[in-house]
Amino acid sequence: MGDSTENGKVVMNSTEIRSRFPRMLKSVRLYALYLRLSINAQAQYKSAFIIQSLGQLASSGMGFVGIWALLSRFGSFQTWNIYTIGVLYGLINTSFALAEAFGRGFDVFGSDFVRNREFDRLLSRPRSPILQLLGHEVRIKSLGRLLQGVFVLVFCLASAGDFTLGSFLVIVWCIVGGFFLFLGIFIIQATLSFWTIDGLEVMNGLTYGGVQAAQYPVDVYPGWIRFLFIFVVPFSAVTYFPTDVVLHYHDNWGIVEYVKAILPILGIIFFCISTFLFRVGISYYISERN
Amino acid sequence: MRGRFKPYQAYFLARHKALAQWGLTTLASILAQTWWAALNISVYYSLYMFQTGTDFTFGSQSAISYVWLQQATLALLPFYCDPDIAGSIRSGSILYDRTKPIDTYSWWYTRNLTRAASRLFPRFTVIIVFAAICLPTFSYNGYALEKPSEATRLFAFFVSIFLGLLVSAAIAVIMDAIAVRTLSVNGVNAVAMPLVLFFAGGVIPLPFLPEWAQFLTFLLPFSSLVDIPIRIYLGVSIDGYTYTLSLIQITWLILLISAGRYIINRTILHLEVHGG
Repeated sequence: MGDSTENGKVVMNSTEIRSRFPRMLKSVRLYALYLRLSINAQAQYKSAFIIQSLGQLASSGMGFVGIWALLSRFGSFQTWNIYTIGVLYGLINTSFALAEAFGRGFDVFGSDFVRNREFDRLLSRPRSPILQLLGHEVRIKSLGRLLQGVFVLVFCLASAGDFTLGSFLVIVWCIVGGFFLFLGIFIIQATLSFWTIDGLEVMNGLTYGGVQAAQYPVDVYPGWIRFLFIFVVPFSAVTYFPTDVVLHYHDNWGIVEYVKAILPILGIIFFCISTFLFRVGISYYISERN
Repeated sequence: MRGRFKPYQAYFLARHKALAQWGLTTLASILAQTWWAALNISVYYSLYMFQTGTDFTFGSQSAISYVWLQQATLALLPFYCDPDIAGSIRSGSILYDRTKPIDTYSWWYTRNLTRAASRLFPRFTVIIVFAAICLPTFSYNGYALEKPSEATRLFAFFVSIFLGLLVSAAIAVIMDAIAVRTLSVNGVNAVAMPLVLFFAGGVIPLPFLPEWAQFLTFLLPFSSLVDIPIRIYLGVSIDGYTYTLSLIQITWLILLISAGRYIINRTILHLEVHGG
């Protein structure tokens, strides 16, 4: 809801720069329209929205109950306590909730666009298919997970972290990086569906599995999983490493603080690579409609 | 007497053939569940490793085995209601079902039982073989599924899993009835998903919970699905009860079937059919 007003503002102030970026602005305006349509459509079913948000709130909340039960059984987790783990948990859930809300079109790409050849229609329009898919649906029921994630994040940060402008910026930067990382994973899932639609639930291992895994510090995992989370799908770059700047647990990886604070950019790089792969995928797309 | 079961049996056999196939979907979900198990096991493994002097009877080997058994039986859980049943209300095709000389409750129960049983079988077999045989062969004993301490335990586990399957179908029928009444599967699924996942030990193994909370889990039917079978396999007792936990499953089964029959009969009386 906030997004449509934000985008509305951009469109309103646009007269002086319209000549310079006409195409881009049209895209922004179109996206704002998509957002408004999607939200209006879902707002028609108020009780469904409320019950689904509550369900999401409960299912992500259960995850935190689990962490609490584990830590009350074991005391602490090496140098980590419930608050510091809570920061990781809050970060990854907030990022995922945002990506799930805005990347829905890529999540259902295989079943709703490739299988029934709906994608042909997207390709025939004079706008980028990525933009159209981003605008396909904004899942407002992700609000449940979002609220829960932000609540845990703020609560745990207040108990365990620095409360400065710098740490605030680092946390927001982490969420931005995490958002693009998950969006990138959804786009790769969509790319795979150019070749196969069956068996795509393997990608849940990176989306839901990523949320589950990144709640814990990456050094609990054996080497091969650690390698995967640092270099291949950089979950640690948007949670574990940058939060050291705020939480000061001083891991022994020997990375300078400034570098750690910059690391969430890897999420954006991952996103760029995934959009490139998606374009490659499109060039292999053969419609069977006649 | 025998003829009464015939249509349900025929449906089960026919549908089972279609569902229990070794497609890409099955392989993908086996891979996803193994990956999920690996993530959880890593966390528990290091939790136990850095722990000094807990007075906790649920050891690391049991925790790891719990994760394997839980992931292997994931297909048994009633996360979603039968999409066809809710769809048949909207399309109106439920009227064809009503014209058939079969009992609606038994018919829906069979459908749900078939779905759970057929999906369970291939997934369970592969994951158990991987965890109990492949891992020790490649000398990853620390991460493997432990063997049951006695043969009766294994037998009791299979009986209990079967009961869990029956409970699962009984829960699913009630979910279907709610979906039929609210004309949408979304609400029911949204509520059922977190409940089932948590109380089936999908978030953390339930023996990690405080003792009082473990008793509370038996007040809901969901721990009868796979948590009780796994406790029997591992011999994790509560106040000395292990095998007797199956009595809780039987109690829930009777309660759920009676409640389900009552709800279905009421639902059928006030059926609103859309489409046509």
